[in-house]
Amino acid sequence: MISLILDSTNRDLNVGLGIDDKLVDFVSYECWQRQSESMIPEIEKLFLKHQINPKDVNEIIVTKGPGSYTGMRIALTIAKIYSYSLNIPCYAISALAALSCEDKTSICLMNARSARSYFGVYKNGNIIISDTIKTNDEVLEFASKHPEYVLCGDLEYLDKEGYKANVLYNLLRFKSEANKVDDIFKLKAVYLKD
Amino acid sequence: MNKKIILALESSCDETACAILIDDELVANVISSQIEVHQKYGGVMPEIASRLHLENVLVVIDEALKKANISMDDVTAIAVTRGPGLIGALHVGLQAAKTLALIYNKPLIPVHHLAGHIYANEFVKKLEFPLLAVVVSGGNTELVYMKEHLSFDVIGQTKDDAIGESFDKVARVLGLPYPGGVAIDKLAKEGKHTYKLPEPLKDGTLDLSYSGLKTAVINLVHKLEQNNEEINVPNMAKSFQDVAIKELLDKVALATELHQDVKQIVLAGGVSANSYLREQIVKQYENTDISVIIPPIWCTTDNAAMIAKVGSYLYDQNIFADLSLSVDPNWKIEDYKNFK
Repeated sequence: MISLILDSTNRDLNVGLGIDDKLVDFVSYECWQRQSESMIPEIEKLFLKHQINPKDVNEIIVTKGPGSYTGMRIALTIAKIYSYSLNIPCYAISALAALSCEDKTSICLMNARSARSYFGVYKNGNIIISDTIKTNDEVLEFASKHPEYVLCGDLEYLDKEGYKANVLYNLLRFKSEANKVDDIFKLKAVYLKD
Repeated sequence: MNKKIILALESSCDETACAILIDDELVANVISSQIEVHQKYGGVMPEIASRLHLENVLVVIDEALKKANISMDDVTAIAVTRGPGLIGALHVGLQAAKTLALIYNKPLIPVHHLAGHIYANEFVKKLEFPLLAVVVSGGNTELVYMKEHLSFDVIGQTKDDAIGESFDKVARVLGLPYPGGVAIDKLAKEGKHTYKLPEPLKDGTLDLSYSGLKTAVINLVHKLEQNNEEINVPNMAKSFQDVAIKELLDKVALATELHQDVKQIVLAGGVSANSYLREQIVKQYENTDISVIIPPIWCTTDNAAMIAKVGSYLYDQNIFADLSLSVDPNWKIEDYKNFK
């Protein structure tokens, strides 16, 4: 069983290849505002390397946001077309959940600009606090009240060191019936802002 | 011989569209319009447009394939609008096209949106060269000389606002609904040219300007409002439209004077739906050797049929992109073969 795993919600371009629920290969590098050019060629390269025909993919796992608006639409467009064309399942997972640290209660954060953060708290893919937007002051206050929680994500914007997860490994392990997309035509990005 | 089947996608502004051309016969032309959503804001909101493209892209592809009664495996090549347009909006169509090209191992053809509008006229009549394309829309005002197929030479263009942009802004100051061009066209029919507006400059070049005219209308409206004088909206619409269209027609006349080999004039873009422009340009070339093609109204708004049409010509010339293709919101029509 071949899983194609995609994430373009933040500065990095993440493309992973899963075989029988194991992450066998992936690419992950900073690709800010160049994901549009690079994502499909990276997918193609992984397929060539592992001698996989693009039509052999059995499922798609994708981050649905929150994050960069234009960025997340790149992976989501690819996921929609893929799932529709081959009539295969698509799993859409929170981009914040994907940042979490295994077996730890994780405060997952992403820069939402204007001194705000996308914020969610997760443990092993389970939601403790749902994705929302908080001011950076609120985030820091929450973190100071919960020193036992792990801060996750690229937190340079908060002057903090965040745990850097393997997003693709997380996405593959968080795939479940609960985040399986019922109707691929209706799959939308999660923006958290109007 | 195998049939040439082009599937085209267009998402440069506020319409998500997919069309299928089989050996130059248009078998599907599906458009999901967002106009009602943007009407609330009085103009196209780029972020909302991009969000709706993501929501609608599968709907239009699925409907087009069903209408054409083909599967993706039957398709010969995939054409897509690469620019110009709204960057976030273009990205959705482009990713969709690239994904289809990857899955089905099909050639990918990047198409210039304005070339599409020009070639929309081929759904009426074969293009005859050399021709002059009058490209008039909310984002562009260009006179394009075409010596032959896929040869685009911009011989005149606006120095500031696009003609459609000036229609929209004048409509807004007159309290008319979006899209403003349609409202002005309709009201102008009831009005008379009573307001004095600055006549376009005759500078001997083929360049145009619409910002001065737009500002003159806005200032006049504000002055009348300050003096508590009633504004006759149909008369204002008529006065503005007369000057705006005359400026364009004068430059078109100069262009055909300077390029005497022009055999055909084609209108292209959203403003080519303007009924006064259609009537006047036909009149201007009556009893001459130049024929004028007026596109059907469905071709004046964005659609993927026109992208498929250009895509078909580009296919014949083997103009294909690799999968690292990206969008170019400011793509120049002369550079239509350059997409690195």
